[in-house]
Amino acid sequence: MNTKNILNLLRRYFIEGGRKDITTFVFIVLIITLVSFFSVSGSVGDSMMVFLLFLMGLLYAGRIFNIFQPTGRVIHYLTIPASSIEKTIANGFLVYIYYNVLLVVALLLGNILGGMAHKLLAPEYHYIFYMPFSMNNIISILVLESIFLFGSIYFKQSAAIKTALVIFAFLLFFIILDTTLVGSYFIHSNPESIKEAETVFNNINGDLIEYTASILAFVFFNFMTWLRLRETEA
Amino acid sequence: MIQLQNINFSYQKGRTIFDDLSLSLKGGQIYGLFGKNGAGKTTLLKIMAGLRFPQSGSSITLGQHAELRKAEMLKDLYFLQEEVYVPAISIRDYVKCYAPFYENFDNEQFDEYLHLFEIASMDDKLTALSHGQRKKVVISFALATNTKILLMDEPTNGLDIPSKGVFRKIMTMAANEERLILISTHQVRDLQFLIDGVVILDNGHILLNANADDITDKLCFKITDDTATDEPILYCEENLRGNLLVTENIHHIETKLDIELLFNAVMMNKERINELFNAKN
Repeated sequence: MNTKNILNLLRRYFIEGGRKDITTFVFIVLIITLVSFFSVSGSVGDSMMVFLLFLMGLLYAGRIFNIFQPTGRVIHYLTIPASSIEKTIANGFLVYIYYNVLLVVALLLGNILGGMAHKLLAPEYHYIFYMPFSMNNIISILVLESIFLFGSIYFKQSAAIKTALVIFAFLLFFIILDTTLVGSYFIHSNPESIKEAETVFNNINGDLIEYTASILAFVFFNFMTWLRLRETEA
Repeated sequence: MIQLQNINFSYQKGRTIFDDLSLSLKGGQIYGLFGKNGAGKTTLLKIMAGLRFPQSGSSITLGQHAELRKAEMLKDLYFLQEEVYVPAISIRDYVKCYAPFYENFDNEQFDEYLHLFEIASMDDKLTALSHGQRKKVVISFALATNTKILLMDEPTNGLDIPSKGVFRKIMTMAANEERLILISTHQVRDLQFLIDGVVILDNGHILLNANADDITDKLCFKITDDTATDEPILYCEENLRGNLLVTENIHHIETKLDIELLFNAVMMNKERINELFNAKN
């Protein structure tokens, strides 16, 4: 693996798509400023805004490879002198670090600008800044972004939408499976064994399992992205 | 530089493109790759560049398994597509973007090739250029990368008549003792005096892989008023200038290679051509 190749890939990204990112950034800041200004608290901390930001992050991750359309782009991309792992790392950096930092900065900036404007019109207003990024949130977004990153190399067209649909279908499947299994367990078990099961569940460190599973999923989907890129033909 | 061994490739079940195809190409040569429509010329170039994976057999390019697409191989290989893809940036930015990947990229050469192609401004957006102009920019870039291998798929398609002359000129300038250039095309006249070697592909096999000197040593290309000759005629075509003949060169007469006639002669005499050139294949 050559760091120079990764830097060249990033440089290529910024030359080709840098202006688009600046426009998007300004647009997001403007929206957050407006929402922050008009919101009752004067600060964007509500779950809707966080959801929208997450959604934008996922859409971005779902488009990052974007090599199949128009025809010819795939050959152009695959023959860039960098290995598949270098290409995966460069795109991973853009999705997991660059774009998330950009979103956080946009959220900060929009929040501050909106709050300041609000305070100008209503001096009695006490500005409270709230950043909705807990460890759980960060891990969830990274895992989801890794799935969308894989989707962007797996699907040839409308990758972000198709990935979202697949995730939705999986979630639905697990909810149905979970409801059916748990429901059937409660129907067919006696109160004593239910109590035993509850004790077992209470002793399990849920956070540790969740973090481990998330990290494994993150590594797995990044590995799959690399594998898929390596296997892509033109 | 390129070694294909026992390549089997098909897109769908039942439709074989290559059947146990083997081919070896060396550096310092400009090869012309010819074949009928659908013969698999583009696919062959893609296999060499690691863009298509054969079902069996091996494709070794610059000592590497092509399908791994290692950076070390890609930095010394440029694949010029028939329909070139260009991003929505200026020519100047294109060079900034992609030249750093190629250690031997030469800016002066690039400027010179653009000048010869009469592309005046480096600030023109690539997507605003016509198809032919885009192609000129990408051809100039491809040649200026100075990669050891240059694979070109129909490079002259879309170029105007004067530009085809310029193309031949800059190809001569860009060729060197190390570089392998493989040009796949139907525009045989564009390569007439450019190529050192001829590769003809048919029905999943290599019908001919020989250098120009070998070909003119074994075959004779002539225009005559009649077809009376003691040399075995492989191909004859009548036109306003007379009869265009391809014969076996039993008297060792020096003639100039005519790729179009050669192609037709090869297609009509596959077995005899194989016998004549077998030692070289």
